[in-house]
Amino acid sequence: MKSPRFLRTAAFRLALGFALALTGSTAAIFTYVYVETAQLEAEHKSSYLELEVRETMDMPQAEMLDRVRTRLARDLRHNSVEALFDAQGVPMAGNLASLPAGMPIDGLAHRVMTRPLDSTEPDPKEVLLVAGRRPDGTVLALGHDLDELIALQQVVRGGLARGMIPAVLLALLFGAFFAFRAVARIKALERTIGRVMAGDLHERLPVRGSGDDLDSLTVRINAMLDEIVNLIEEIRAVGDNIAHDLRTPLSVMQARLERALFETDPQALHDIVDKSLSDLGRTHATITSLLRIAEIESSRRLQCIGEADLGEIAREVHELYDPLAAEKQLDFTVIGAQAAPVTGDRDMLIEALANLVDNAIKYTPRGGWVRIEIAREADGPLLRVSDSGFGIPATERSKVTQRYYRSNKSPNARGSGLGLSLVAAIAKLHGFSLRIADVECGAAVELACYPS
Amino acid sequence: MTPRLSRPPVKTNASILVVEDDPDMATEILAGLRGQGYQPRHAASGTDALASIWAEAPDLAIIDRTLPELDGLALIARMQEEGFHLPVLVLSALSSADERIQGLKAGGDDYLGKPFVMGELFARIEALLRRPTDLRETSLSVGPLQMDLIERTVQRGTRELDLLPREFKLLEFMMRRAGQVLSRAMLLEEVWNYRFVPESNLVNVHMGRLRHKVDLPNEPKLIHSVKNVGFILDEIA
Repeated sequence: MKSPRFLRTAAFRLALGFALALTGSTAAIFTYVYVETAQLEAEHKSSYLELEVRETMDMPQAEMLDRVRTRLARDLRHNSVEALFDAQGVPMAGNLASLPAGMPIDGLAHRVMTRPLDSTEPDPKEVLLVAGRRPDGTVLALGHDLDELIALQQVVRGGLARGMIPAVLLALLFGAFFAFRAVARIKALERTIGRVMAGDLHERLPVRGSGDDLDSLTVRINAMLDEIVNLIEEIRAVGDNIAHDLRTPLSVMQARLERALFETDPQALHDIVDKSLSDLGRTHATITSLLRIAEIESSRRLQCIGEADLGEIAREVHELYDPLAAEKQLDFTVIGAQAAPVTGDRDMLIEALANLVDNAIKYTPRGGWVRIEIAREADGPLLRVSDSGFGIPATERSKVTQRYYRSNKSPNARGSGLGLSLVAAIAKLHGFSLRIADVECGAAVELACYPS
Repeated sequence: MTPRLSRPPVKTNASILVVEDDPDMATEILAGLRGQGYQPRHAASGTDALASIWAEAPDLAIIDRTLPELDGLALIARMQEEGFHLPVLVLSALSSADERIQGLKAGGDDYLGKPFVMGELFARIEALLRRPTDLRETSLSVGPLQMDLIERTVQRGTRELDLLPREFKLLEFMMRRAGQVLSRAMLLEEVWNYRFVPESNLVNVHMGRLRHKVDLPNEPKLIHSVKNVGFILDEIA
């Protein structure tokens, strides 16, 4: 059988442990106080009795008898013991019929059980007794009972019980209270988590705002849920985009292949296969680009972060694209290719710039120009790729970095339309910003290579 | 006498183990390999593959990453434990950069993401079966082409070729693998060290420039295009 839930909570266990520790330490303190006090009291009494016996024995017999009788007469509470025996052990005065059996007569204090003659109780009691023998054989015994010590002991015990029981109860009560509250909060969290697991990803855990440990954990879990939702939405967007952009070429291919079933001319058949293959190749390329973007977007940190030199990157991309630009008779130059160190992944920055240049060359008609520029801004270096091409209309500037956007004004350009979104993803991963500059003619895209 | 490029002969009848669990994909790859003159064998799982390697000692293995029972990378690890060091081409639908690095780290010699063009697969198999010439060579020659790796000069017969550094690197790579089909992706990876594929067909354009310098209109062609795949540098009579 399982114990009730609140009994298993950390809060209750803590309270239980606390109560135990409290009991232990209090008991230890009381014991210490008691033992020390009792010990001291007993020692004090012993030395006093021993001294008294020594003094009394030095007196002449008559005076000693008188002393014993006075002591007895003064003992109104009946807690002192005094007796004088002759050499044969016959009592001469006092309240003892005889010395207790085995009581050494050595002038030192001993704890013995005896019942004084004037005792109000029927049973023998514990007495601290000192006995000494005089040269004439008479024996003097003086003592005191231990009732006071026993009373002290009882007071200590009572105090311990009366003080500790409420403390322990209080600790347990508070423990149970906090445990119940914790259970209630955790149950609320569990209900919400249940709803999230059932698919309601927009549900968030309740935060009380008290800033305690459970609260800060809740805040973190909520942040984690936000991130998961983002990722899922990104994946969904990738899926939607793939579906959207691939359906069209796939239906074309399907139609073409259906036609091929009834085609008898070998040359026409060959053409159909050839076209279908190249369409397939393009759809593969689109999927690859989409997955690449998703890969960059989902990698939350840079893998090969280091120092990259924009100048070197610009020269490298220029070299890579120079033949392509030459083929289109474009004037392709790098301006200000000085060293401009930035923190980033060199390969990814090359990929980004390559995409920008690729686009620029694609969208610039024969005989135009394309420029890579390295500029300095107040906060850091900037890469600008500008061209004399079709340009990007002001209304479309915010859209071009979205996935799949392709400007309608460039009917001859072929591509997946994903270039700029890839650059945007790389920029975002670096914390850089991608801007479409406002220019009169042509297009200018800027990658500000500093944290924005 | 023209010194021939020293390259190990390609075993065209090399036996290739294809470890692929998708039956359609396996059928296509096997048919393609047979068409190239190879002797392919098929294993549908990691454990079958191990048995086949013990029994037949293939010259090369093409291993899909996601396999039932023993996955591709674990299979490669087992092969190495058991002392088989045949070249391995990892084939996978997981083609992101990270996955690729994992595949190569695990002991794959090359990594090809799905989907791929058959020609690309053949080019990579050929590259694995025929290791390039000794990297300590100081000069290379293919037919009338002579490359001095110390002086960084290239001659075709008596004609000096004026190459840009990247063109030199490209030609060097091709000369080391003369007679071998080189795909565009392989060239991008090896000559440019790029892992991404630019949208425009840059390799073609660069190759066009190089070809312009290597093959004059009146000379026999040394650089040939291979449709849908890439290029080959060879003397073809």
